[in-house]
Amino acid sequence: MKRIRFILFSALAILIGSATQNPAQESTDLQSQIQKFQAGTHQFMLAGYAVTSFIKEEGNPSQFESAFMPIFLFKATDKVFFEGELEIEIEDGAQEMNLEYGQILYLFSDYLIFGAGKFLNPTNYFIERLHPAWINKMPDKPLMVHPGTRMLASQHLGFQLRGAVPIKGSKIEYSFFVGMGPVLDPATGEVTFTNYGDNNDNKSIGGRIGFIPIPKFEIGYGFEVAKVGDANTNLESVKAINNVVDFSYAKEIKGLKGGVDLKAQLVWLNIDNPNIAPLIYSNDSFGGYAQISFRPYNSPSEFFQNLEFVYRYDWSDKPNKAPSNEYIKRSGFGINYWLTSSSLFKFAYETSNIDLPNGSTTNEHRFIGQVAFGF
Amino acid sequence: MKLKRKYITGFLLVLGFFVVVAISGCASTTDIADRSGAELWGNNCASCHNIRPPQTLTDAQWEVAGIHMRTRANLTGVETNKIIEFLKTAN
Repeated sequence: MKRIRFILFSALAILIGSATQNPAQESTDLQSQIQKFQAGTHQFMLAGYAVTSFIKEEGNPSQFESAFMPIFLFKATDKVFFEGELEIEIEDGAQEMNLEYGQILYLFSDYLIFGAGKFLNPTNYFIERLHPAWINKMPDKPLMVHPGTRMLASQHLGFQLRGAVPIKGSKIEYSFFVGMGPVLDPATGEVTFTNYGDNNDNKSIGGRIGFIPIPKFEIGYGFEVAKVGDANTNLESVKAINNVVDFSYAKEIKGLKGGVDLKAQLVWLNIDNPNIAPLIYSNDSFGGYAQISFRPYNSPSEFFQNLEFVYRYDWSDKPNKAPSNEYIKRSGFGINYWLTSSSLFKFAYETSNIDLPNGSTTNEHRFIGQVAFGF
Repeated sequence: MKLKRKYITGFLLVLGFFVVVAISGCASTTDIADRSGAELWGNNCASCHNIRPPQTLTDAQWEVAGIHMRTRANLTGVETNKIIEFLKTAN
């Protein structure tokens, strides 16, 4: 009898308990349960960005370009992770698909990560942190990171070790890598960085040290050293050395009701002079960019809150006696309109002044309109 | 070559100015270990891009995106976990 009474009381308690449960609480519990088991979000995630540009260059037909960059992220365990990005683009009249990066990561500790695969060049701050179209405040990349100027690698194929160590209120970051390295073109004296079949046994070694003394302020120095000549030739021992300095600072200015963002990067590339024709000149290249932007995000007007003004100056100076000698100086002014935190319209006007190998100078002007969306 | 020197000198001067500004602000900064997830989120993410509201991703997605950004922005494990926990709480 006691047993039956206990069962009846228990059933009654459960009924009362379930009847008095807050519907909102019930809904939250259900949501969290669904989220926990939602396919495709627990360990795998698809991110990325898409961009379409309209380009009108003086003297050339206007063009549309479009690209879609899906990023695949997979967390196998708390220590093992994969990240890969594809670049599918329609540019210069052709459709291409490339592997932007794809690397397996092992998180050794709070301060050390090991990576293996094709990864973004740690010495190239712009490429590693700022190149996605919804992050880059101008509609194109600075000259010295453009593959055409052949001054600095965008990716490496190899291994890397990286991490950060906090020191009280500041932080030191580090990245070191070993990769295939650049390849020398003996006809032009230039190096190419898209090296997926090495031309010698020497591997490039490089790294970057960054210092963050206060939040949103960072300064870094990076380097890369490699032998770039073909094996078993008299250019085998020719070395290329990259030195890179980068700088980043963001600050809210209450008086201006907004925030200022400063970015800069300098690149030096030195290739040995082997004194073997046609490489009988000092083969030094120098490039860089400096950019300032301002967004009045605390303005009382919603329209002005979403506006952003950008100015960038960039240049690329190739060796005077090299066949590819060109000295390009470019100024660009842009106005962006933010639709969401990761999608925007960009409008930019750029003027380039180019010193050509024959000693003459030419000017180029172009307008770019772009829409970018990060997800 | 003169132009190169001019650029280098100009860059170093500008850089020196900001180093002075930065160092002068060092005294008031909190130890990274003592910073909250919200503070770390604002400081680290906004260095490169607009801050994305916590609601743009689910809790499970923030866990995956957090590790991706730890690699990209050289965050420590502690910083990453604090940021992820903050985003999940604010979601």
